[in-house]
Amino acid sequence: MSEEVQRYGGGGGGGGGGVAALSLDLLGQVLDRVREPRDRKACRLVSRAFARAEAAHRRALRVLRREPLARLLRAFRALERLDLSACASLDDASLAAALSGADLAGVRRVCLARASGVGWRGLDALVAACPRLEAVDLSHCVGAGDREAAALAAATGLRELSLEKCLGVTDMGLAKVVVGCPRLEKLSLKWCREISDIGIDLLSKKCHELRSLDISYLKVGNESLRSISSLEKLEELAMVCCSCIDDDGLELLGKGSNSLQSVDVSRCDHVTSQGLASLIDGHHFLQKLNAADSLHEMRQSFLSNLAKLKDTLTVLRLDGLEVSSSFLLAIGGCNNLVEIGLSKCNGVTDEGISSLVTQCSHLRVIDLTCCNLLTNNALDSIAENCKMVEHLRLESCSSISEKGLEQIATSCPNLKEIDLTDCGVNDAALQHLAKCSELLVLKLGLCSSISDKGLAFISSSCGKLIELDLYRCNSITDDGLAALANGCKKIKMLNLCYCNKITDSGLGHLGSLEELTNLELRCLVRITGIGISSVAIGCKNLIEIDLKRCYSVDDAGLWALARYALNLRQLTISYCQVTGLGLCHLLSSLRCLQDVKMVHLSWVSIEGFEMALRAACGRLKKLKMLSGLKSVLSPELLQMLQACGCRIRWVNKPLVYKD
Amino acid sequence: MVFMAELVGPRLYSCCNCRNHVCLHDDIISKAFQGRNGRAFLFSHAMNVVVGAKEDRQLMTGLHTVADIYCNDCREVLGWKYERAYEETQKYKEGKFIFEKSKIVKENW
Repeated sequence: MSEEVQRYGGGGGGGGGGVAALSLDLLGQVLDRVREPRDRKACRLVSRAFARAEAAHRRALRVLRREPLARLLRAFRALERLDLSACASLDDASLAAALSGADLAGVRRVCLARASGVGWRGLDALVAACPRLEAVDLSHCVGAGDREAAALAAATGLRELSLEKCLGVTDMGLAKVVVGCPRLEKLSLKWCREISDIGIDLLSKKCHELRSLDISYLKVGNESLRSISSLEKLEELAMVCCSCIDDDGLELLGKGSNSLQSVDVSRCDHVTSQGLASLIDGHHFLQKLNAADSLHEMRQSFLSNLAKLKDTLTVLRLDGLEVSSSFLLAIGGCNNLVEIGLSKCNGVTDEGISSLVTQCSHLRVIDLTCCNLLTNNALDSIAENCKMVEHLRLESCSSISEKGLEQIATSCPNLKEIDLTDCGVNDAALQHLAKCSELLVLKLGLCSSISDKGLAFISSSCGKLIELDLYRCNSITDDGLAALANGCKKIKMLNLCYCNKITDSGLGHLGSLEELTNLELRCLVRITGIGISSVAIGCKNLIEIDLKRCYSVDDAGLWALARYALNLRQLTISYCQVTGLGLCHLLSSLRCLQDVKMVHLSWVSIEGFEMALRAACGRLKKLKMLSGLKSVLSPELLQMLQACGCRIRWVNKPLVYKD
Repeated sequence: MVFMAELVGPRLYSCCNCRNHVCLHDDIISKAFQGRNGRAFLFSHAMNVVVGAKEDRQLMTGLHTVADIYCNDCREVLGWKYERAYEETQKYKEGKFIFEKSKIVKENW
């Protein structure tokens, strides 16, 4: 390759010059239009000129390992988005060191989700290095508190901030943020349960630009809603599981000056349809309303007010509600509905669905999970009226069959996702679904009548498939996997748990699925290290693998993972035949491994566990082990693990299973 | 930082009707059971439920003595408890609980 470049290298004249004649800037603009990350990677490897052009124009970077971080930040000058959430064992010292000396004037968005090793020192360095910082995601950094919030408060231009699950943040930290970042437009405080009405009140007084606010799971009450109701630009408000909020609070919101478009009160047990009615009364431009698992009965006042939203309402979720056909008929009055959620609703019948969909032809997302009264008639109604449907969730609708699915497949060419878990569908159904060439997600869990024949139908024309769930489809064999590997090359997530006819030969076929990231293989008792090797070598993007109860997988099998699956972040090897040596090798080689479930490793001695855990101590974030080990592992090791941000779940599970 | 881990808590399921906490995700033994109306899960433990009268039932896996379980707040039937199994291969279910998927909701996750 490099020789060819040199042949052209003499410059623009003569025989046309080829790509090498393009200036760096032009080349960069061409490469800008290459979207697929793997294609960009291929472009980088063409020549030095390509690599330089790509580096000069690259806007987004996702770093997987700590060691090259400093070098990478210096190499890419035009970075705008930096994702460090997957950077294994990132800590303050390495972050600060990497940031110093790098030109990050263009960086606007930084993601540090789950980066539990980063604290206020690292954030101080980040804010200082990135003067144009607009958005920071610190979600799930459960140790983060007020000191971290204070560090972020120095980023005066901050517009978006997620402190979701930053459990240590209190009103004090929030106060620092709202005073330091008055331009905040989007804020999430989900799960920050130390925050009270006082903090929310100050927020409402200081951040007038706020468009989106998430106070889910907080213990705040109606007074917070009184404060929030003064935020004139507020469009989006999420209050999932706010048990201290009730109808009085919603009434306050209803009388407020917000510009509410989206409201989520799911799981709020003290909210009733009366409160929602008064909320709608004040906000006639509501587009999204989520009241899943909160309402128990339906007042007429709610229905009449809902009718006022008929022009604007696009999303309505009422999961867990007791409904009737007349109720569904009334809801259908909102003709512009795009998404309807009726999961686990009692009383959803074919008649009700029919009266709903005949009025709502724009529906794209329909969730009917556990609506077990529905039959093929409901599917016929949907097929006839909702031709634009993209997401159809029918888990546990056990009375539907291939006849209804034939109608759907024929009339709804845009179908992207269909969930048929526990529906008892067969190969004939898959033959019909094969018509849906846009299918991305197909869930067939517990459909034991599905066989290789059905998979062959899907593989022949659903080439865009990304996610396939075959949980307990125990008629599937290696031939089915061969068909999949041939026809569905874009698969990223594959669940083959309990498909116990599968052998190493089947896994060999999976080795050609280069996009595969998540693979679940629970209780595949016939697979051995040979199959694991094929997957580990071929599926270079593998992030998660579940081998629970794969009794024939031993050290040799896990050796292949240790050698080849270098991007692995999540691993389950409970009940596998690994020894202390194998475990130690595994945990020390996989430098990105953060989450390990290893219950009942009967061949590993206490010393084996000690050595293996010490080898991976700084990297591990989640561990699941048998509770008996808690008293035999050294307390010093357990303390060290916790100090490094690792959470350990101790479980009591039986050694012998009956399937 | 140890206390932070405890604040997060175990994953809970609640009664679909009144949101009373009834079981833990960690106690799931199997997700491949069939309830009265659809999918059901086998749990090793249950909380805040009332166990009803024992009765013999012919289930898909044979004859069992079961007792319906009710939410202790709202009395909604959520599933049943296996009191006795009469075949050797089914004995592992004794003392364990079936919760129907349609009757329980995720609580804090």
